[in-house]
Amino acid sequence: MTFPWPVAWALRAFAGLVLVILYGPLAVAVVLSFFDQTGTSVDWSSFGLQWYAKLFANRGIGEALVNTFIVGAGTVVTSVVLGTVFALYFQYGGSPWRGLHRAIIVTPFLLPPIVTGLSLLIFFREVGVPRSLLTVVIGHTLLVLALVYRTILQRLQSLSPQLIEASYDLGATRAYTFRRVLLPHLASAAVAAGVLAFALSFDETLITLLVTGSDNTLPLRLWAMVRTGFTPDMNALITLILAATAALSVAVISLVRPQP
Amino acid sequence: MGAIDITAPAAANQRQAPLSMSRPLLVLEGIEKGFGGAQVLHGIDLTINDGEFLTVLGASGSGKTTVLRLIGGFTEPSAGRILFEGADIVSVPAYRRPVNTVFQDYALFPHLTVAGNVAYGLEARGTARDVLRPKVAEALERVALKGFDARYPSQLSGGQRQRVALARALVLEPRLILLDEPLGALDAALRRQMQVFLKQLQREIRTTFLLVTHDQEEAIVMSDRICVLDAGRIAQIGTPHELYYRPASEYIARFFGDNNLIEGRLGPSAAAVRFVETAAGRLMVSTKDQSDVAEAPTGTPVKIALRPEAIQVAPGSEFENHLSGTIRDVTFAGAISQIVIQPSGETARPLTIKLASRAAGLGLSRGQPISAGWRSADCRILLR
Ligand SMILES: Nc1ncnc2c1ncn2[C@@H]1O[C@H](COP(=O)(O)OP(=O)(O)O)[C@@H](O)[C@H]1O
Ligand SMILES: [Mg+2]
Repeated sequence: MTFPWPVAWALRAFAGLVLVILYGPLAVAVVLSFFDQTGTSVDWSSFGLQWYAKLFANRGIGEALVNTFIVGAGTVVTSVVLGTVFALYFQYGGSPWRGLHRAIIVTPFLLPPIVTGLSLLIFFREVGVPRSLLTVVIGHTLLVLALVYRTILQRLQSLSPQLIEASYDLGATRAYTFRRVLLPHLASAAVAAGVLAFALSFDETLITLLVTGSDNTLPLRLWAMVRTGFTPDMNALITLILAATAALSVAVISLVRPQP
Repeated sequence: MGAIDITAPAAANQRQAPLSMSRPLLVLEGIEKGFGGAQVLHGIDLTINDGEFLTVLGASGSGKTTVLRLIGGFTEPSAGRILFEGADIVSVPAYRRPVNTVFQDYALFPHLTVAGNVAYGLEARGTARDVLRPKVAEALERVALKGFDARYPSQLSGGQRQRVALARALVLEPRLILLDEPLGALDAALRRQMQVFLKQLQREIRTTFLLVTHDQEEAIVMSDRICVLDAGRIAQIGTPHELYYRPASEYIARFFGDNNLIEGRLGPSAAAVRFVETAAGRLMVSTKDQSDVAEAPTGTPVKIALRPEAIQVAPGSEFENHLSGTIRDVTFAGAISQIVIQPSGETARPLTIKLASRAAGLGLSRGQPISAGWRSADCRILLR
């Protein structure tokens, strides 16, 4: 179907306008991160990475970045391992409770993060778990496990039972089949799910805010900076987080795409 | 590249003498199989002899795949025994059975190369690299896939995938290879080529093949013996020749050779023949090897199976059966022409005749009167 040209052009104009209004502010932050500013007037001659330099001169950012990576790595490992084990449990465990189990795992992703975060906070206080990066990892895992689990389970369910039979037929034991057929089949899904988990963990703010101790992650640092007033190096931080998220998203999309 | 050189196994052509086929390799004994409430196989008794090419032929849903899965060890019979060289293997897991399967849709490992797929079974057995490599190369050469080692299954055509699946089984040198409709997904020309290839390969490597198909022509071309499965029951077992010339039932007669089926009732017997009263008159049918037919009571409703090519136009006196009628239809199909005649006699059903077109070209046309005849030995009485 093709539209008459006035409709087609109106459609294009509308799409462009919405793009500018909704996503323009993000671009503004990116552009401004490279220039000096006095009040609201931009000094266009000042192009450079000075704000990035200033950002990294600030010790808190480097530490926050390291924390973000620690939490991200912890979340990836925990969620991918648990996601794989739970997917195997669902598919091959033969348990009548597997449907309920899956529903419970998927729920936290649909809950408001503030509810998840507060519940965790209350629980940690009652039980007396000191808040730290570990509790942040637990919070993030709770959040991302739903997606990681679903991604891996979906891949597992796409495995033709004939491949497993073919493996047995060729003389492979169960353990050998698991290692040579099942795990390779899951591998790319696990990588994709891991990147997804990292991307989600990287910019998670609300749960982190509630369950962290004295440690800051990047989004928390940004939050803290906003509260003490705006400084231009925040544009640099926003740009960095945007860039990282965009790169991770591209990675997830290209990994999740079905193999040729 | 990758074309099948069907002249390659020259040695196989020279060895015309049949392999010793007397020794049973695998025996199915009273096999029953049901899924939930549905009974799929009923009392299957089947002996596969060492070195033979046996085909299980049946319509879709008749239980062919289930038979292979029972032998492969992917499912257990509800009752009965599976004997491999005399030993019951029902409780032996699939990975320790001396049989290998070429699956219906190949089931190649998508994450492994062609060589990786073929090497898989050897690796699972812990075969050393330097022993494994030449074996894989030899298996690939045997199926005309030399030089395809590094490709992935997704980069191969259907026919090539099928040959990888074959090489993957061959390389393990099993005593019995199970093939589940291996040619089903190929186009007609390639299928014919592969039929010849598989048959020659089987002779060359002297391995027992159990093939499953729904294609009767394929079964006839390839098999030493055919086992026809009808809704989970064995309808007949025999050489292609036996099934073609001596069908045991109406089902087999319909499956093989496009037989005409003439309804009638048994009449009197004479030496090695029996008369049958039909709408087209009294016909004489040989009862050779059919003691049950010779002994059946007069008046029993039966059908006569009559192969279209056994009917002669304008027959001489050596044909015991004669009838006259009119030509209803003439169809030219290359070397063969098919003629449908309407016998005189109110209720007689039309008969189909197949003639060499050379002979049919004698000015046969629709509406023309015709006389036809056949020998009593060329037709057969079917009690069921
Ligand atoms: N795992 C199964 N569960 C239930 N029914 C099955 C199963 N496998 C096969 N059947 C049934 O058994 C019958 C024979 O199937 P199959 O052996 O695959 O036939 P074929 O290979 O001759 O087409 C079919 O009616 C099919 O629906
Ligand atoms: Mg089948």
